[in-house]
Amino acid sequence: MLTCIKGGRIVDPANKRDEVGDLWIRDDRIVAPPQADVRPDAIVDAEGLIVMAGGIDIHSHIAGGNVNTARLLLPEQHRAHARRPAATPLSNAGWSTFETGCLYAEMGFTTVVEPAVSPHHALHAHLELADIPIIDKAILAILGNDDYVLGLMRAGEGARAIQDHVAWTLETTRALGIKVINAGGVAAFKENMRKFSFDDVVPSYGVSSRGIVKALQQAVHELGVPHPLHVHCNNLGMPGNFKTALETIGAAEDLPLHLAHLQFYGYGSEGKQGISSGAPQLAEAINAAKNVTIDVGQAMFGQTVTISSDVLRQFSARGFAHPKKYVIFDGDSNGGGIVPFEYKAGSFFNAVQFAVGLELFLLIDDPSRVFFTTDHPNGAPFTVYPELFALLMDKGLRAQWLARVPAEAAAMTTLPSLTREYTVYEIATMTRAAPAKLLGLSDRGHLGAGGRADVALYRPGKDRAAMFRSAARVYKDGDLVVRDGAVTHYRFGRAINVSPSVDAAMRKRMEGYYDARYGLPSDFMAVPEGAIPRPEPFETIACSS
Amino acid sequence: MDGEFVCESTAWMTKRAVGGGNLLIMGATPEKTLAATEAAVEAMRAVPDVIMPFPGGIVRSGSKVGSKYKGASASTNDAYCPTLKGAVESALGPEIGSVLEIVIDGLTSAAVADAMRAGLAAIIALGPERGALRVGAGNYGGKLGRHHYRLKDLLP
Amino acid sequence: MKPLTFALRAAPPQRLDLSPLTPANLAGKPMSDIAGLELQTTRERVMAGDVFHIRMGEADTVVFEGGGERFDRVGAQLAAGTIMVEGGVGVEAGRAMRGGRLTIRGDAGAFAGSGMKGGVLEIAGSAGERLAGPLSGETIGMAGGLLIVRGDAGARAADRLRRGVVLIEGRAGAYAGSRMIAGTLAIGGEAGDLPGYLMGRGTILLGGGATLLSPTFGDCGEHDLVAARIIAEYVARESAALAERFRRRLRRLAGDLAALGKGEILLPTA
Repeated sequence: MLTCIKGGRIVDPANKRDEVGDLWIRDDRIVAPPQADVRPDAIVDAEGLIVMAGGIDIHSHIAGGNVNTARLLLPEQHRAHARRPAATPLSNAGWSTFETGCLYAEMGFTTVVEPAVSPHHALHAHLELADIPIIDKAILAILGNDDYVLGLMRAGEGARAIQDHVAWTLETTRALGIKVINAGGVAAFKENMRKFSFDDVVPSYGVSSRGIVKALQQAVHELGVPHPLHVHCNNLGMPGNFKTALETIGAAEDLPLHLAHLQFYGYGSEGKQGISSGAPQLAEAINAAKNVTIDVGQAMFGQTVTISSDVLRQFSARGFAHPKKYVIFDGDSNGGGIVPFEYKAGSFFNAVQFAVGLELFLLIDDPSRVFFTTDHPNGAPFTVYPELFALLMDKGLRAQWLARVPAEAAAMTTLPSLTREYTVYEIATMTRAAPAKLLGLSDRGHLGAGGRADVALYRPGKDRAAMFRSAARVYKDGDLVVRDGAVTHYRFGRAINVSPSVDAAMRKRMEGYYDARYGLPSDFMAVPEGAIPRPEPFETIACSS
Repeated sequence: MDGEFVCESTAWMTKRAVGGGNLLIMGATPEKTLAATEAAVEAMRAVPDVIMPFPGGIVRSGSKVGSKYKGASASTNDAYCPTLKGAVESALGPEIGSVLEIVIDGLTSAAVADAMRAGLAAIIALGPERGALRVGAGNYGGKLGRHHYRLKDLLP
Repeated sequence: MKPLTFALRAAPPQRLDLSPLTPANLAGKPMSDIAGLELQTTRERVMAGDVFHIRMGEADTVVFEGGGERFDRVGAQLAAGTIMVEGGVGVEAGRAMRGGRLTIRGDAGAFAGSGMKGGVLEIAGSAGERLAGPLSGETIGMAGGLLIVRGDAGARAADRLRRGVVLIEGRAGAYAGSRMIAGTLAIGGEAGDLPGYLMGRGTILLGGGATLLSPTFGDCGEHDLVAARIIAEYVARESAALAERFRRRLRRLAGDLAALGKGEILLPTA
């Protein structure tokens, strides 16, 4: 099947294109325009539309144990999401896997990364991801508070052993990369530490957060995993914590490092309320450190639920739960904490958080190193993306939002003075070209020949939020899945993973470890191909070494 | 609403007086306990240099020194609350159904002791059948002040 | 003044969501609009005019002639005015009502008065389980108002009660007043097992005792409680029988000591 999407404005930063033209798709791939005498099987009139590659979300909590604990904690959210039965094809709970896939697709997103899966929960997470329709998925596996990695470091086993263990974890869990969450802090929490900074030492293991981050960063790099170590820093949400983020950036030296949801680390402690923006300092450091990428984790006003494996942080935030209930479980490795939260425009602290996120977007010059996230659902649910795109593209709209927050809070930030407005081209860089490069997905995020035919068409208009909320058309692997903002065709994507070569001796060691510690075979959390009853449920991308 | 609120428009103050002397009168029923307490107050009013500052000289919801909250210097005297017997470490037996308190402020420690002696005598004279089953007093481990009045020394 | 009347034509073909039929929502609407209000709970559309013969009147008083266990969410969100049901109702009658008066002549299903914050809900028959209780996920149940059940109530009546008064003249099922946060629950007949299970604060009067009392309540002896006499004055306006129980000498049990323990169960002496 050969399709020609005709006469649209093709915005493809990966190939430095922004021009009106035709896009040709043969089956599931983008192809070069054929010779003039070849006639397409279908012609799509895209005149007046913007044509982009499918969006890629690198950090969104859409599956796994913690997400399900949140669903259990907040059954009223299902009710709030439930539509009148007459309006739905089948009666359907809200906040479900089905809805997740549909809502992403309707916004033109075709690939989403669940960034925090405990290795022991990998099989469950993959089974749940497989239930999300349309989009492609991937997981990042969490290491860095687990007994095995900390034990290797305590024993002084050296970089090679950690590297072998990381490779084994990636293979066993079918992950796309490694994330570390409050490195060492969660392990220290188990020993009753309630604060943990970058150079604090984990009791019983004698290793610092800095040591853990550097060891894992090195291991991921040496293995040639395309996505650099994905770091959730210490001291999340604490005033004055921009210094922690600066220390972490400094420790990266010249190796690649990704800092997740940096907004939550963008706080100074100036002013009467003891909270101010540290975003300018962070942005300056990131503009200088070309090896570092970040995603924002924008906070938007409204009710949400914070879901994190940073148990230390969630434990200290439990008093702010709204509604007043939470789950903290101090389980093996990272455990988890679920604290419902409402960001209020009238709250000084929340207003600063809102501003800090936007400052990071606007002060970091290179849109290929700042990624578009709300840390769904921690800063806001991903359904606010359209509003957020509009805020980035319109300084007038930002001024309207700022008018709703306490003026003294806005004054603790530089946001009122920022006039930059994102262009459609920059949005495409941030949500398409750059994330594909960051994750090593060479056939996604661009519209060049050979690319996967994940394509989103938008109808530009005054209301930019409306444009991004309801894509005019979305293709996934060449299948038309969305028309005029509504899903028209259900299909299932794949899970993308890396598979570095694993040392046989490490396999043996892990068998011994799980047998001795848990009485379980080491492959109890492994994700076999046959676990997902669908042809080709996985797609493996290459490591560079 | 009935009744008038009456107090002195001008009151003299002294820091050398003794405040907070007390008797806890414990009985089987509110009626009997009240009878014993009223008898005690009447006898104590005859003693010079003391006042019983609460209405009718009687305290119904008494307090103890200290509480579990930093901001509150006093809280419910839970050990002597008949309705909390089953819920807290109580000082009351099953026979006690009512506890009233008389608070005494005096110009001198001797005056307070005299008043307590007079009160005890009146309570004892009424006897357990018509009045109180037990009498106690509290200094809360010395937290109420340096003056201590031992009831056994004040018996008639 | 003639009330606005909904006379049931025949047994409804499915459960109905009657929450749109409140005085506030009906006021000023012509007959055709009212007949067009959608009441279905499935994909099959059902409009008010399909199920009811409607007689126009002042919307301040709404009367349902007929009822049944498929009448769900009658008087939900009621803020003012009166609703009268000449029959039984299904689940969530008076759910989250804030004011006004809802009277049900027959029996009510589960979750009657769930999350109500004000007004009066009277059920002449019996109520199902979780009377006045929270729906799943909610942290508090009824938070104000007055709820009267002339018959019996099912299990977990007044679960997580936060404020307000619940009067049950008949018997109550197991775990009456479970997890009560505050407020007052009075039961005229015998309560089921473990009333006041994990209650923090509040008052439960057990007019007819209970089949099993929790050992985590501490016996505080018998008393003449002034507060109970004040409650009796209030209760007497709605239920002479229950008011009489409050005026007796009361044995006080403090608890639940397995939770905060500042609540009480009151047992009238003979």
